[in-house]
Amino acid sequence: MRFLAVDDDPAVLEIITDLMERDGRHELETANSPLLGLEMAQANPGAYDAFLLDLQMPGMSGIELCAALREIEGLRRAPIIMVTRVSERGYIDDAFAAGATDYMNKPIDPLEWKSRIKMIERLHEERQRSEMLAMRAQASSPENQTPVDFEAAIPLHGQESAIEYLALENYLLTLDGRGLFAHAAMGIHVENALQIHRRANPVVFVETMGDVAAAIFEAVKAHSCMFAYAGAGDFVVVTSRQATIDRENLEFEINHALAEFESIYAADGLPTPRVRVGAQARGSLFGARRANVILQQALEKAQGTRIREAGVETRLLQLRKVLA
Amino acid sequence: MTEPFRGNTRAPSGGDQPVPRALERARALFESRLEEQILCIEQCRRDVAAGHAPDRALSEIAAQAHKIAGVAGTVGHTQLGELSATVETLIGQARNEGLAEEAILKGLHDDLEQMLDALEAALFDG
Repeated sequence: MRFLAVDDDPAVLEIITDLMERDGRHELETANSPLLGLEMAQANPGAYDAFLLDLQMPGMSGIELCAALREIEGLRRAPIIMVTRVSERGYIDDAFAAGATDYMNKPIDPLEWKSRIKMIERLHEERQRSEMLAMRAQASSPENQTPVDFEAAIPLHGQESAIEYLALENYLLTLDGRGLFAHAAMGIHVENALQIHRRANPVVFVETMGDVAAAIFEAVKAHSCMFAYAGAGDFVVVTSRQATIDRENLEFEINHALAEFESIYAADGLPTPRVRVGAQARGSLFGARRANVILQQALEKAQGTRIREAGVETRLLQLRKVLA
Repeated sequence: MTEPFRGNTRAPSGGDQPVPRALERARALFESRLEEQILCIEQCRRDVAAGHAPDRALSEIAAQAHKIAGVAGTVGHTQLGELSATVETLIGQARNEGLAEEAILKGLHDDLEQMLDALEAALFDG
């Protein structure tokens, strides 16, 4: 992989260079200022697979740099890891909102470094595979498009407040017990996602989930929140614990917004997406509930009907086999 | 005009942790900048005391502490890293409380002294 590390401290760049050299499997370029880093990325976006950014830099913060990199065509899905000592929550929240994939604390621990680089490698490979599938899907005629895995957590680019599911998990993992307690997650399940997936071509399916994301954003934008698509028609919204979001009202607003496009979906032979919003899942101050457990609980609360839907689907498949 | 390095309190040891061979270059670079950083912090201390752009001078002390704290632990100067992190955090907290720069520096005296001692130990003992 090809990395670009941006930090105004030469000692940090030397540490990263030394660790990369010891690893020996990756190429690294460094920039000692955010503006130089941005210039390098803009001049040749294809030259970098992943970025390591400091947060506090003169002239332009790492958060601003992260947001600027995400604007560059070809870098929307590149892993961006914030490598910093800044531990204030506000910075971390802003970094993830700007498109950061993960967050690593300084001083860098060589062992932690190794495991993070491995994580970036896995992420990179996974993204290369899904990008290849997306390219094939777009290049081929609708009937020949490579199917999108229904369970895949497709990243929804260009939707404000929407981040990748993995980044949302990483964000919650940066919270300590009290921080996690201050947050809540709500699952939003597209009840007829499986039907849409079966009837729509891959590109239209992704666009339809994008429509749902836009409707979710409109309905929750008054609250400070982040959300992600988790795959299988499931979205999860993370808000502050104090955010007073009425579940039924949210469900109505999203469904109402989607219903306005009913005729367009009908013209494509698709049902209008219909969502179900689950009750909030919250962190526990005493129960040490883990971040991924909270996300899972939020999704399960919204999926009440999904299990039934899946049951019906399974029975239909069995019936088709018998009839065949 | 620079002050001589102080040596009136017991200095903590320099590199207190073994450093992987691969990080020796980074450690050497880090240590080569220590003298400049000590002089910078001392100058900023004097600026705050004299009321010469105290806001900027205190920010510079916090910035230096931030940089040192971000690297020291990785290159074997764990104690220096912890002391620097403390100084950075305390400056941030005191500023949030709206304290004047001179008062912040006064309250920070012992912590800053310890950090400077650790910096000197790292510089001279490696």
